[in-house]
Amino acid sequence: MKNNSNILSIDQVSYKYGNGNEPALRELDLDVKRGHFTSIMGKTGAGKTTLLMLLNGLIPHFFDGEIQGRVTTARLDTQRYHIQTLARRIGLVLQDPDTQILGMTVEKDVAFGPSNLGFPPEKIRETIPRVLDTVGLANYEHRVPAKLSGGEKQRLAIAGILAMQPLILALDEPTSELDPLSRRRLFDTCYKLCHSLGYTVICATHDSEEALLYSDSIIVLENGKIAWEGKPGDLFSDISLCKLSGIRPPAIAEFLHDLQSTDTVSIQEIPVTLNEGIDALYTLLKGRTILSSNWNSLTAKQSQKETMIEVKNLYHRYEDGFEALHGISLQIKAGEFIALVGQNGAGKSTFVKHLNRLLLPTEGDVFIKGVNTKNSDTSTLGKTIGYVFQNPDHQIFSSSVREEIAFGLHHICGIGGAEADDRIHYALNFVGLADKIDRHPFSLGKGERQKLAVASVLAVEPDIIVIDEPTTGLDWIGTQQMMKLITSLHSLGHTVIMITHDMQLAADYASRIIILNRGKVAADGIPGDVFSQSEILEQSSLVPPPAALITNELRKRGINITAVRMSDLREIVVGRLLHRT
Amino acid sequence: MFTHSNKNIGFLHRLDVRTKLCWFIIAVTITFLLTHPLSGLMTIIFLLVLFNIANIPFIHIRRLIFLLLPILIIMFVVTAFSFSVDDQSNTQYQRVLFYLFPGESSPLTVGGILMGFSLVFRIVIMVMATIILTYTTPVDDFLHFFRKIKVPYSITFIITTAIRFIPTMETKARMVMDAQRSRGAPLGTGSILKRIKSYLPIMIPVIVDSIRMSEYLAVAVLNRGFDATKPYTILEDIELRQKDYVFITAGILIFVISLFLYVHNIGTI
Repeated sequence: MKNNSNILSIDQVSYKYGNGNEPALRELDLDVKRGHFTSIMGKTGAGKTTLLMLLNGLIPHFFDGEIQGRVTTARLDTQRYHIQTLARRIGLVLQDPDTQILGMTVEKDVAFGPSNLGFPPEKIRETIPRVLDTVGLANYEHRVPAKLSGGEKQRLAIAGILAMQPLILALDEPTSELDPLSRRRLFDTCYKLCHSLGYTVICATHDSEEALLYSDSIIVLENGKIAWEGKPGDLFSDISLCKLSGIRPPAIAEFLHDLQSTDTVSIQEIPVTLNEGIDALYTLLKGRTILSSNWNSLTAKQSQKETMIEVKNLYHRYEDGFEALHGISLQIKAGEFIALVGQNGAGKSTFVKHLNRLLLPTEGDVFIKGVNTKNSDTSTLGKTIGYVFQNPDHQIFSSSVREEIAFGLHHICGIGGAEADDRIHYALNFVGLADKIDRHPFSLGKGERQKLAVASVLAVEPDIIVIDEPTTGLDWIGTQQMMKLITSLHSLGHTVIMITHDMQLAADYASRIIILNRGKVAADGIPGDVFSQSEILEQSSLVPPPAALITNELRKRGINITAVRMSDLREIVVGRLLHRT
Repeated sequence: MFTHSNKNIGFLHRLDVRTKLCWFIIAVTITFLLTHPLSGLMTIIFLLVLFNIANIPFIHIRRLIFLLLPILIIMFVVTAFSFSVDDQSNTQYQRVLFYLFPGESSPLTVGGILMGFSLVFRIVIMVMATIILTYTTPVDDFLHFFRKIKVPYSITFIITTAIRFIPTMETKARMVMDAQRSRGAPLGTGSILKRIKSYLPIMIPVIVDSIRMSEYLAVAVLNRGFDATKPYTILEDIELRQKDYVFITAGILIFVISLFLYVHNIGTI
């Protein structure tokens, strides 16, 4: 032991998976202090999951491969102890909560770990309510896990680990499937575990804002090596480092960085948290003249266009009696780019499933280009509406990328032969997978599989494209590529309906925002209007995009500007600073 | 069926699983001993009373019986006409009502009709008894029972996990189905071969996903210290209480009476 305060230490570890060509980790050195909250960041495939699985012995005991070096977890050499023994010291929570919940009831699931470790029954009975309370699931003992929300399931997974009383809690992208509110709650829980209850927390994540707010230190992985290590503030104020490492910089830091590089201002040290950023901005803008802003120039000029979708008083009740939609009425014109937002369970997916008749209204009507969906069928509607689902793996079944795209073309458009080939090439070129045409779809990365799903919809050339949470689970580079792709689909003339949890993406890219809350339209309009209604946002458990947060706060301090997109804010601020009095 | 057991806890729910299994076996055995439809009818009435006590909606049995109806009818008709006239003890059963075919072949006998009813009732009794057993017994009780009869932990664990993942797999299958229908997948149309082929786009992603899930599951199980110590802690156990002994005794008594009746050819055909 080099240092007693280190609870984890990795010493010159290299590791290559049994079926891998490249090493997943290369001569990695890492020490983690007891009681610290460490975030692991970096691109997809940089080795984050591998690192975590190394810590609890899954590597090399479960995933065999070539390993060199030494890993010490809470004084145990992981190569010499079983995973089950290490489980008393370190608990690992994985990305998908569904595969981690093993009990039929919440209580039985929490009891599973400690029972396996042979804890006495009284101790287990006493532990269950305590850990459930810690993760915010008090009195959930007799609930059935399948009926919990994604956030609740993930917190149950943590409770199941805590019940085994480890010293270290390791989490692998625990929030990738969650909406912003549940994500915040989960991090709050982890923070409490670390700073009130003394756990050492180590968490792989893509969420910059949370990593910044909650962690004591950040490790950036790149290609199996530690590329950077230090305090969160130092990472996020270095915008070029963030971009290089595939990490999304906090909006405010990126904004101030850009501002600085336009030479209009000089900021000594770029603040990274929202509050510090607003303070800095306030100092810059104080006392300058007000220039009228024309940020909402894209106001409803769509009205003359053809109506693509008309929804009249739509209700949907599921078989179990749950009423998911309560009277939705709206129109969508050709060429709109709509962001459909709202908490998990607000009815977003239920709503879009009515557009291609995956669901039929319990009451009310849906018209697609004037045709009532009741008088059509899903494959006919497929010509007009293409649907890119959240998980591309739910549709991939062919043995080549080409066949995968040909499937939809054949069944929806009845196209085969040379014309199909043309369309396949066109679609693959468009998404940038032209060279992968004969590859097996499962040999592609997650981001590429998602692009393949987009390509198979694009080949059909539908007027309307529905995309369900296109950036979930992607790193910042993947997210930006995907958004670029969607924007170009929109500029081709497709009407785009995008479901997202990311308010910044919604504000930056969409021309219209529809907020759903408990099955009703809570707000509908251009981003500027929708995101300035803070009361409705709050009721819908949404946080406004950063630009709106910043300008709201500045307005409170007497600087009267409004913006919802960071680019608009930049224009306004630069304009202001240049026209000094 | 197992999923019902969490709701409205009643008297039958509180009986030990072994008591219920004992009654189940006795009820089924009696249908083989006392073949007269009247004894079957009495058992059915008794089970209906249990249905009422356990608060089981009749829809459960109606649906199953409805599904079985064609089989029950065929069974009844075949038995009624094929009952052999020779080996019947009671002459009144040998009365032939009419012959199905000329030349005195395939006679419909009184005994045949009674035997037909008896067989149909036997099936209905088994269905009802199974519904009552599964509806009033939580899966955990069955698992405890398996443990008591020394079925290895790993096997009961597999059973629990399989049951636990039924809703998860249903959700996955529904998502895959939505995705493929959106791409115009024709499901269940055309000739049988085409129909089977049309389900490939559903089956493949579901299977691939299950394989992937099974690996995650194995990891999750290890993370939770599965198989770390022997013995693992048993939190709850099943226990025979006084009322269980009373019920088991009553059950055995009924069985002995039935056996007596059977030996004396009462209530049989």
